[in-house]
Amino acid sequence: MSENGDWVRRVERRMQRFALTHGHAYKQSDRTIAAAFEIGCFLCLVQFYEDQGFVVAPENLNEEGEYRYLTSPNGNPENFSWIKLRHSSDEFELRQQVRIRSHHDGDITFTPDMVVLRGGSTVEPRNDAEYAGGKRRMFSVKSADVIAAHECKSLNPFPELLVSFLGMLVASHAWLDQPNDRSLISGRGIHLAPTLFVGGTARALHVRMVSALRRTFPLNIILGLHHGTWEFRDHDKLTLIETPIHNPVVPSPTVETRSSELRCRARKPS
Amino acid sequence: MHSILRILTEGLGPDMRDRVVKHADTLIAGLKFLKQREDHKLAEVVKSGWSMERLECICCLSAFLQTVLGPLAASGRFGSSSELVVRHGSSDRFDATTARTFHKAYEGFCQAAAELKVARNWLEASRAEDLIYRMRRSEPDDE
Repeated sequence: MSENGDWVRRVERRMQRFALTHGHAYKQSDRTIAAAFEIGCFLCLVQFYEDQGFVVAPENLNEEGEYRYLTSPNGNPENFSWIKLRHSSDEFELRQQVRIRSHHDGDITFTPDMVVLRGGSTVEPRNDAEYAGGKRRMFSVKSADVIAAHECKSLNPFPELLVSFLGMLVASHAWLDQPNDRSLISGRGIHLAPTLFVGGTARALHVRMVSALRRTFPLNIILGLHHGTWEFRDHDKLTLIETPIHNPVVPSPTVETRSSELRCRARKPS
Repeated sequence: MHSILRILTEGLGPDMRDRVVKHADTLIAGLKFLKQREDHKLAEVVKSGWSMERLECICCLSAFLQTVLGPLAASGRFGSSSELVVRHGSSDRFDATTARTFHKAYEGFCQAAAELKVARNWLEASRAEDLIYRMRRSEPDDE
């Protein structure tokens, strides 16, 4: 056998030993592996708030005292756990998979993986004929109640992924006067600015792009979570924001108005 | 399927297995493209003893680390995981024990690779060009 062949056989034998030792750990379902990354980002965010001096209290736990993690936008958020965050006299909520209804237009709704909301934010249920045939309620919060929306991507970063986060930034945050509104950024800020958590590492060109995005917009892009090659504990390297002043914005047009308009148009002959 | 991937993906669900294979195939295709282009950096790496056959093995190891072990290890990297027990669906439970188990698997894999003289940061490269760059420099990509 050639030298190369010998080496490949060595690799095979070593990987067989690895699989024997650790297979019980990594032989998980596809769903578990997918959820693991998002849960890691969630725990990361909880740790951040603890480090910031918040009192962190999980709410609505199950009977065993476990945190019930919501991983799809279809569930009723009130049936799942969430985190109460208390800082001085202010309260906030950290939730997962809660749909946001944008202040730009009531028909712009989407579901970031995690969102920090003002305390006591209303999760509004609505029936919409164009959602699940009207048979299931659509739960959402107003973007006026959003402090920061965060997204998790268990991928290697690429430019289109990085820049697309700007869309979520603009649509989620009513406190943003314009995309590059950096008025809330402060070294003494208590919140993590809207953050894109990315699993893979980046090449130098993309690291430069990440730095440029962070210089321009009020956000973070954290890379390398798969490998632990980043310094989340070093808050000097993170963009922090102050709590935005609450300014309720009514999105227009409303879902009911738009649905009515579409039905009227559908009735008109072409 | 490469023999190394067959060993590592045994027991995984079909979708996850396909993702690992696809990831490895993408890296290997990148290497073949560099070879076709007569890339001088690749030629240097091959000349130093890392044949295309060996490089393809590294691609397989890298794909497995990034697709399977990385996300699992990410679930347990932080202090809070030792206090909060997270229930996902009816069967998945993430707590301090699972965090340690996933972390040990990740580190065990990197240790196994190191025994084969494959550096950890090579396995973290997201593209064939990055892999070759890191192998030439034996340090993180900084071009």
